[in-house]
Amino acid sequence: MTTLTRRNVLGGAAALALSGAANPAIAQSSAQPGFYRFKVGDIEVTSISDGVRKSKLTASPTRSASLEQFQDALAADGLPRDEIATTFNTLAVKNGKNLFVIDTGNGANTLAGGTGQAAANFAAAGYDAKDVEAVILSHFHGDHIGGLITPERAQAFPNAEIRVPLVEFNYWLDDANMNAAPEGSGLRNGHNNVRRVFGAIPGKFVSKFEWGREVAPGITAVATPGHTPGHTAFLIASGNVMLMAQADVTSGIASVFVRNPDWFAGGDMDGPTAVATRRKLYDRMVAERMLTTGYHLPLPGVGNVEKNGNGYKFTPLA
Amino acid sequence: MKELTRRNVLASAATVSVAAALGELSLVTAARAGAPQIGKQAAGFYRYKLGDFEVSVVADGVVRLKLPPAFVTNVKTEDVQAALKANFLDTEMFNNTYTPIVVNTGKNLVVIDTGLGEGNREQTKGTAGNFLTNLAAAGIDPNAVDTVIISHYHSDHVNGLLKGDSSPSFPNAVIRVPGQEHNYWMDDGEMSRQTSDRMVGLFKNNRRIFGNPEVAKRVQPYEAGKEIVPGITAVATNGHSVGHHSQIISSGSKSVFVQGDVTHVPYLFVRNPGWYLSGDQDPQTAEVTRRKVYDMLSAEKMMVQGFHFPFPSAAYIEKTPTGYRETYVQWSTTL
Repeated sequence: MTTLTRRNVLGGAAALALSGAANPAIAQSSAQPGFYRFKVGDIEVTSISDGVRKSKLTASPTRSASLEQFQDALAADGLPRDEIATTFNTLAVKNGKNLFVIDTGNGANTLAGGTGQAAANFAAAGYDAKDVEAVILSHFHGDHIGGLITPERAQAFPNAEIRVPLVEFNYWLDDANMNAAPEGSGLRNGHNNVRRVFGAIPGKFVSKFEWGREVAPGITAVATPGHTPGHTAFLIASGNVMLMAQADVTSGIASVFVRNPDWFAGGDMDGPTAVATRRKLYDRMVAERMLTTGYHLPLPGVGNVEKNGNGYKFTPLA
Repeated sequence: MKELTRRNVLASAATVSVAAALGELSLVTAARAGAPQIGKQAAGFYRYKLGDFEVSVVADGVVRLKLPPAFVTNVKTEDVQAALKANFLDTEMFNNTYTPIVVNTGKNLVVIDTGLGEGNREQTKGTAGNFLTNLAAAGIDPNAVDTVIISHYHSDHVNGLLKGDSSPSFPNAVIRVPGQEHNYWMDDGEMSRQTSDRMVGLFKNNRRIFGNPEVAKRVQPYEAGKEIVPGITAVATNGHSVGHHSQIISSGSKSVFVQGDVTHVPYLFVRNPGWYLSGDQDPQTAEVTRRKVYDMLSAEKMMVQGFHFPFPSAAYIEKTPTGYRETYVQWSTTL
């Protein structure tokens, strides 16, 4: 056998089309499943996709790397160099008789942009929003809280308590912090969006939790500030299995920041703190061989991390 | 709607958090008698575009078994278990996944390999033999398939040619097979020389499948280096079996290498290309083939679709000091 190269394999291919006529019965289809289910001990967890937002890549999304360095990092994962596709995965956690949701997606008003699909995929996964006991939020960025309300500004989970990190709540609902952000800035828009969403939810539905506390049976809040001031990961444990739902400890095109943890992700509000948090949490996940989900890691959205050079490598659940 | 101010948001939330501190988190919700866990995975298909082609990865399923002794014939079981552990897997068990694909070229609708088939569904308690079910979930009509390509004649690749009632799964398809592979398994002399139960069983199984008149009349051989249908080219990759072949699918500037069983599970045999799978009929040749293919995949940065890779069974390959390393493709929920 000669050495294989793309050239000699394909170059030798005569146009030997045995079936010259086109098959008239076929049409391509874009339908694709939007969830993935797995077990953590006795707990049933489902990654629910909110969709994909695609954009042309014309400038580096991080000030820590040039465009070319960023493109090389994309290519290392087999991703295209000229486009970024941001994915969003909420979680449904069925623990005993209760159903919890962690983060909610961009909201159904963003369907035209390729996202806002979490509600439909949640239903496709066999769940009913009315059955959700509590929605647990990692932080208050729009892609995490948007799905709390419907386009008609009704509560998307009408019976659910909304459990939020105390530090996060106190930051975003402080008018002084809002007013310090320049008019028209992304940060100011973020503050406005928090008020838009929470303004549609009666206050009695909202409860705040502190880091280190159990926020639902088997689900503990883990301090992971940096991406936002009150950013929170969740440790989900059952039997001897642990899952770290890391939310946006790696954000954006998350795989790039898994490989390059010292780069500031575009959405990280406090870059140095986010980097320190990222390294600390990833080192813990490696040392304790934890399963992890990432809000911006594509489906199945769950796997393990290991050390890889100066960074880490994520391997989806086999 | 009441206007949101910091004061009323904080005040009401504070009320809740006092109660929460008392361990009464569910203030606003009566305890709902929850439905049971769902216990079922999403339909087993995944689609991607390859140039103008559309590839649907369609799971046949998984067989979970105790790690067979001498699963890798030339290393100790402890080494295999260490590799499983390094991939965060149970060291006592082995998960064997089966993943055929369907290629819609716009002109042809092509199935590559067929899984264990409906006939093995009961035996596996429904965990495998689900190719036709998942095909339906993917919206693909088996009657519309015009070509089935077989990589080699091991039962997990060919049994799905027949339904549970022994009628053809793809009644309107030509079945394209590697000529050398077909001739080997149909040769009575080769069969008479077999001594292992496994090989005798495989010979018998292939006669059951390819002796079926509905299959036999549809079989046409293909050759290495030639297109099987436009855009899908056969590549000789023997070793795992005598006439094992892979395929390269190309459309526009995009290509994927559909390897069949050049490596079995990646976390053992991609990372350790010198390991001999007990199912490799000629393990030395299989290793030579494996290294040639994986040198190419890593040099060309070509995606590989692996029949026994974890779903959706597509990855990129890098060279490492001791072998190769797989990086799985990132799923996209929209094409």
